[in-house]
Amino acid sequence: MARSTGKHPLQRFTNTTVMWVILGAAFVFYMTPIVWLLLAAFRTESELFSASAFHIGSVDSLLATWNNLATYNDFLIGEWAFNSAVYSVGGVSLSLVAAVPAGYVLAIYDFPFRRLILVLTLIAMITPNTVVALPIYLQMQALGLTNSYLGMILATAFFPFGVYLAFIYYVTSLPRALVESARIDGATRFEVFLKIALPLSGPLIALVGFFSFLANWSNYFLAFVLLTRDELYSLPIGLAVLISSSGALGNDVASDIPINRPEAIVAALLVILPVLLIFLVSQRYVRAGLLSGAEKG
Amino acid sequence: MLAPYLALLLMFGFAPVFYAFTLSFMDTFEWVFWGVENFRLVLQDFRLGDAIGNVFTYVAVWLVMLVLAVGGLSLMLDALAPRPAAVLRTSFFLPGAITSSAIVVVWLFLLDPTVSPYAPLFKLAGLETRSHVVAQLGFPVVFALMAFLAHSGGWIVVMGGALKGIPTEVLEAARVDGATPVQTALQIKLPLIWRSLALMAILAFATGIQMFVEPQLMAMAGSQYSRPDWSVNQLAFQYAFTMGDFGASAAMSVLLLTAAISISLVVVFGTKFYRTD
Amino acid sequence: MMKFQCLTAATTCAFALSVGAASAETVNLTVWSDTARVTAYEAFDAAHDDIDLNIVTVAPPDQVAKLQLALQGGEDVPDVIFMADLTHVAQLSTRRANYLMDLSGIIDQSVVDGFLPNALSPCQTPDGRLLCLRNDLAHFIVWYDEKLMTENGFDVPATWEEFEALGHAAAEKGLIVGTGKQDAPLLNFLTAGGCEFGFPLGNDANVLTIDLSGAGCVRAAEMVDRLRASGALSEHGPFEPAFVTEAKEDKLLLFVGSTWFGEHVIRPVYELPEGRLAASDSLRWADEAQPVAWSWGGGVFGGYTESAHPEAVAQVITWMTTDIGLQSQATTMPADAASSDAWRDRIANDPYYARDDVYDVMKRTADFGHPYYAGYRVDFSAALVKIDGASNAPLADKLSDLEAELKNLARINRYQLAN
Repeated sequence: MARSTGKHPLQRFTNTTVMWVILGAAFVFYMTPIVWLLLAAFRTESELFSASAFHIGSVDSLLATWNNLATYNDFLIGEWAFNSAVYSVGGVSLSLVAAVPAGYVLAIYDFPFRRLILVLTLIAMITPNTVVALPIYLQMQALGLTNSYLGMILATAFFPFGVYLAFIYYVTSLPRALVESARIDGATRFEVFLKIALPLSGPLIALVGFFSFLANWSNYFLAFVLLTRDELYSLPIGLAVLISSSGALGNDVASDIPINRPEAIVAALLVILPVLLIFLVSQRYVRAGLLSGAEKG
Repeated sequence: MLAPYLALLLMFGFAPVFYAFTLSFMDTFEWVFWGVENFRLVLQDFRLGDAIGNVFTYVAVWLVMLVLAVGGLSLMLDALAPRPAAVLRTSFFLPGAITSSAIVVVWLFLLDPTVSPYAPLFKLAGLETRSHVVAQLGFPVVFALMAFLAHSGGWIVVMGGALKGIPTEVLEAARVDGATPVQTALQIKLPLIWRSLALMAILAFATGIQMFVEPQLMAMAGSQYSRPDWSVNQLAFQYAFTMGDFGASAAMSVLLLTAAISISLVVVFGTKFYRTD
Repeated sequence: MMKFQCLTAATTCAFALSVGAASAETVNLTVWSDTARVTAYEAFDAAHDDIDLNIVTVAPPDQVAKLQLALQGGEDVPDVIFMADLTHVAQLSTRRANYLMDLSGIIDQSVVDGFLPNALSPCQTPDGRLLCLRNDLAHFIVWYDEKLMTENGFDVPATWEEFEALGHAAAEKGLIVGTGKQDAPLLNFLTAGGCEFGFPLGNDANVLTIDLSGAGCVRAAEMVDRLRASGALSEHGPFEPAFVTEAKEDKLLLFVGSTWFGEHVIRPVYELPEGRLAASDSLRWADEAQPVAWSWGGGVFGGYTESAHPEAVAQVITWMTTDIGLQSQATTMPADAASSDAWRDRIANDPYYARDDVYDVMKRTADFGHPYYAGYRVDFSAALVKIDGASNAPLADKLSDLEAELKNLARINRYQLAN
């Protein structure tokens, strides 16, 4: 990128400087809350208020905080984390199975109702939760799927955004000629998808999988609607219970269980860390998939 | 290959919306059809005008921030070497991992200059307390910032994917023609990722006018910041979940969804978004 | 459920096994709890062989929404709930959301009579129904820092006039006497002056009187405006870091706060050192014979009107609110008189307080609890916050806006207006 093809070296220098200043500012803006949150996990309640924003606390106070969290209801948090993992793994797998082939078909073939399906998908993406809360609850209750792993997994497997990501990916990145030549060679549509499209879909699967995981792991709404048993709660619901009813945030609620702001912060980190981890891992796949994709040209 | 998705779409996409649509014409107490009564009721709600004004101000701020920042940052990242680009992209995304219950905790502190890590910025702007910050920035800007920090990084990742999808030959050709990086970015890359940017804008608009979480979360910062009727979707929520009137709630939601859908469809069809070539 | 626990707070330290739960007489009830009340329910469960509790923890802000869904579906509706927010009592006793059971015929009159004066005002409707029992009393009293008072030569105020004078004098020394920002304390200032936010003065629960134009109401609002202007009432809410910092720097001279404010805020959050905190009676206007004190919280228990076991529901609710062993160890002031007396010893003997009459103040002033302190379908707090937060104009100038807002909200929520 340093090749001097431009005509004005000075202007180019200015452009680069401006770019780095902007990127640097953005970096600080985005990283600040994360760094703060990580540091805050090491502080006590009063240090959160009195010390400076980037004050470094102690491992001891983190351990004390963690102990308060872990002893809450015999490590119920561990159970919630396990549930979240089950819901997420199930939901992500099913959503990939449903979304990737669907996006492919919508992008490559022309058939009746194709446009209708795309429009309905878009509508599904923008439907507010308030509108579907009652219908989904009643429907799942009729099917006996409230308070069950299967119900949560099915409901979270519906991931229209993934279909759009797949649709856009195949429209932009999959050469139609490749598909057509395979069709001429006599492969069925499904074979073409398996043998031609899927091997080129590494980055897509990583992308859809990642966003599906993000949506699943942090899903509050469906868990709120479908679960009414403590032992089935997911982490976000459990944490909301923990935080809001313990007066960790407001002091209006009088309680003497040891869940306060430090516990809320550490609990929040518990929700965040898996997402970060998955993000870092999936990024590698996005890049790896990209390299294999480059060979196509 | 479409079957699994279609089944899910029918069950969790189409059916609930259809059901809600039906509800909006029903009295959900006696369970009788009563025409547009629900719509008449919610349209007369004295809070509706303010809520619509609030939401549109918010969407305007949020959309401008999102399109400029995501478009700009994505193009800049694409001009970098892969490694620094990956590091920066990751850092932009990280706040997106702060979701649900965690958001509340973080914003409680971020908005308060006495404890906020952004304190220097606030001090620079002459804002000393949380109430100053909220009063000076105004709710639409505060909510837009909350949404921006949470969602823009994800979109930058999506744009990164879209930019990587641009064939190398195209970029090589531009370089041979002597295009500067800025020219390449604006004249070659930007037109090629418009579909992703357009999708982002549509979704940001459509979800933006249904905003709900941010004002609802503000209550956690103290009841003096609680605004349970700030947005239209909050009103819909109140009808159903505090008043138990699911019919009126459905009517309010149907109106909201109709507005979101119409505007999205105008954009979709206006830009021939669905075309495969 | 988990019955192996040895419960510290409870009367019994039972090791009852959960076997035999299938015996014919055992009644199964589902209760929704916040995290703070789980151990209490478990104690009930352990102490009662004939009632088996299925305890579900629910985030309090989600409770009404989850109930609305459950009521629509007709399944998974809990038999007993706890409501920390009293507006929920109103929201859950409507035609559309008819959750709450009328306890008046099921619970012994002696139990009802055993509550402190005005404790049941959030539960009793004008038409004679009893929708809940109160867990704790939370009326406003005067909390003050005795050391700061003495050092500065101030006297503890008994009237709002004295309070205002003290506030201005304190402000000159850089001290504060409370907050001008938080909704509940503001509601207390205003209702003490006689503002009628929406009270069912007649005997119809659906007819509200909303009137903020009375001379007493305006007088109270103007007092708030002057105290805000002089800086005596902080511009921050009492839980905001800025306020907490000031309190820790010994700037908080006095706070008109609820009964739990000492034990739950001043002590753990403001970290006021031992031997300084004292309390005195709720304030009255000089031309009024006695104080009127609004409250800040004070949760209630209610039951499901279609529960299959109303007697068991009544038993749970009664036990949770009146069991002396449980309530005497509570962190908040018990609403039940006998429990409250047992609770007294803990507070009176606590060397943290500068005086041993803190509980006596609380109990004495329970008589002055506002008779219309209750939850309504109109959320007074939300309306006040919205109108007061809209501009920096004096509160007194915004009373008419507030009255209009309250009236609009009342109409939307199907109330009739008396005026």
